[in-house]
Amino acid sequence: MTALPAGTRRQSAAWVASDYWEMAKRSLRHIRHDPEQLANVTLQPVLIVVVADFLLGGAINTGTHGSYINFVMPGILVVAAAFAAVTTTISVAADMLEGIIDRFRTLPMANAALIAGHFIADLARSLLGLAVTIAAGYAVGFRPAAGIGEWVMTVAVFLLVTLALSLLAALIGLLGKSVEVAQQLGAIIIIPIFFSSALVPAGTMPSWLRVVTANQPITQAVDTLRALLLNRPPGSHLWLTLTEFGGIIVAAFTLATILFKRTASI
Amino acid sequence: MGRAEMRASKAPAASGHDGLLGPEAAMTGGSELAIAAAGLTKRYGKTAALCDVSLQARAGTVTALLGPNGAGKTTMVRILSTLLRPDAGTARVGGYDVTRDPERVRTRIGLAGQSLSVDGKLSGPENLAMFGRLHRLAWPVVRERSARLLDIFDLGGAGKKAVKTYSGGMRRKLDLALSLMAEPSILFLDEPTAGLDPASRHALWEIIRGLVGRGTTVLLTTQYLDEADALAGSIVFIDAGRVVAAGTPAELKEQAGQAQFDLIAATDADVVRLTAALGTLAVVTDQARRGVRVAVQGSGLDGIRELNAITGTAVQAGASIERFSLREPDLDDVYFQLTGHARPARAAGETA
Repeated sequence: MTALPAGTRRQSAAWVASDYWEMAKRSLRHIRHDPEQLANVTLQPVLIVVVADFLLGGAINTGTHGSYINFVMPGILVVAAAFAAVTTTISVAADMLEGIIDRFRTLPMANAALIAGHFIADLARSLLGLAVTIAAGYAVGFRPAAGIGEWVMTVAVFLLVTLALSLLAALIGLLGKSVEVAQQLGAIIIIPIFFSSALVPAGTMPSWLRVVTANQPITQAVDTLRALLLNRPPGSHLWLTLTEFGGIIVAAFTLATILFKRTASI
Repeated sequence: MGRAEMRASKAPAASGHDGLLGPEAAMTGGSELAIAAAGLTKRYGKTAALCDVSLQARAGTVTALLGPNGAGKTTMVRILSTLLRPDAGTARVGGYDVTRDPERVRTRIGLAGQSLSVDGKLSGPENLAMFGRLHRLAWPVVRERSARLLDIFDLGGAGKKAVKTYSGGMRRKLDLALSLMAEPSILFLDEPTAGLDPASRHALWEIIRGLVGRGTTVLLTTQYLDEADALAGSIVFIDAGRVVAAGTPAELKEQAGQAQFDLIAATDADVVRLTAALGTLAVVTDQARRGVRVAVQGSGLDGIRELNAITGTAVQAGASIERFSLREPDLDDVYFQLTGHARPARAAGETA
């Protein structure tokens, strides 16, 4: 994954995969000991679904999108992905600040697996969030028009967004000087969602804000999910989502690895 | 998998086929050095945490790094265990350079102690299995060693309970067990028994002795002099980042002088009388408590004759004595003697 010093012969692909798997298992087991982690990805999105439908549904006119719940569900899915990522910030920060990081560093393991463990658990958490949120959506009247193919694409795009947000969250976790600070900083990840087409149609915003909104990745992801779920052609949104979030993933992963290496002295 | 397993299981013997490369072959020679550090220096800003520290440890021995808080013991261990890069100096551990070849060093070392931790949200067996796999051990080896370590450390009873519910002693034991998963040939123990009750301390000592008996090299940091005395074949005293003394426990005790005859005088006038009579042999150890110490230079019968002369002189001086005692020097004497000498130097260094 990262450039290892010459003479390292034990980084065979199978062992690197085993490192990733062990670290993923560790983070998944943390959920078992700490089930509150799941409240983030289940209760909160459900609450937003309920608020969106019963409180805002009557007030927000989404123009051509039909009912507000049909419009807002893709946005809520991205919110669920972001909530799942906040947990990553906290657990990465906790790892870095506790002595256990030193033990990991004295192992002949792949360094990147440490961060990978967190985002793999994050993907699992957010998949649960996805299922619960969609079920809640159905209960209040969300009626997507997606076929099997669109659903598969929806889940794939959702996981891509989750992975990108998770890596950004890990990055924030690496920067935090304490778990509390990291937790505060982690909330930053939620902010771009408000300045996107996730919760309200971008057309109603002031024009200067529309420029920001239309050009930020969250909007592309939400528009892609919306098109897929409502069975409309996603057009350029899909490709922009793939390239933008792909870019975020590569950049955040590289940066996280560099940061990790820098905090590690050797 | 098979390869990793072979490599790990042969680790304690520190011999190997990859000796083609040289360093490991060198370790199997007669005077093999498991740890060889020279001129290690580490600064944090203007503070020198370590200053030109050298240390050598032969394979299969216990070396204690002894010193007060902040002396640089943990910094030293962190450098030797590839966690910290020194600003100057070199260190070879298990035959490999810690900065140039950290990955190879890591396959040979285990680390446990104060700054280290276990995963509190996992159970003991889960911790062992995870670290075993991250050490690149095959599953059957992981299972066998986990079972054995749980048994040796008497941790089986905790079952599936999360480690955060463990007592301090159990956590320490698990911490040490984790560092033994890969059967490292070199083990760094950073204050392994700090904060443990006497029973747990002695249990850990026994385990450490057992490991050394099977060929493991141990570098141990401690503030406890009795711990160094009980376990270590050689001791390196550091204070304020510098080596202030090194040697076997016996050599260091010798350095602290021979037996000491301590007198507590009844009045200040008696102190004056005693010191006048005993001359340069006597030192006032404690003005407030009127303590006078006389070092007995000789040993055996010579020592007794000397003591006889000292007591005779004290009687003739006509001083009134409240209490007296005769004691052999221990590492405490070395400790206070050395740190006592070193402390003013550190204060001077700080202002410079």
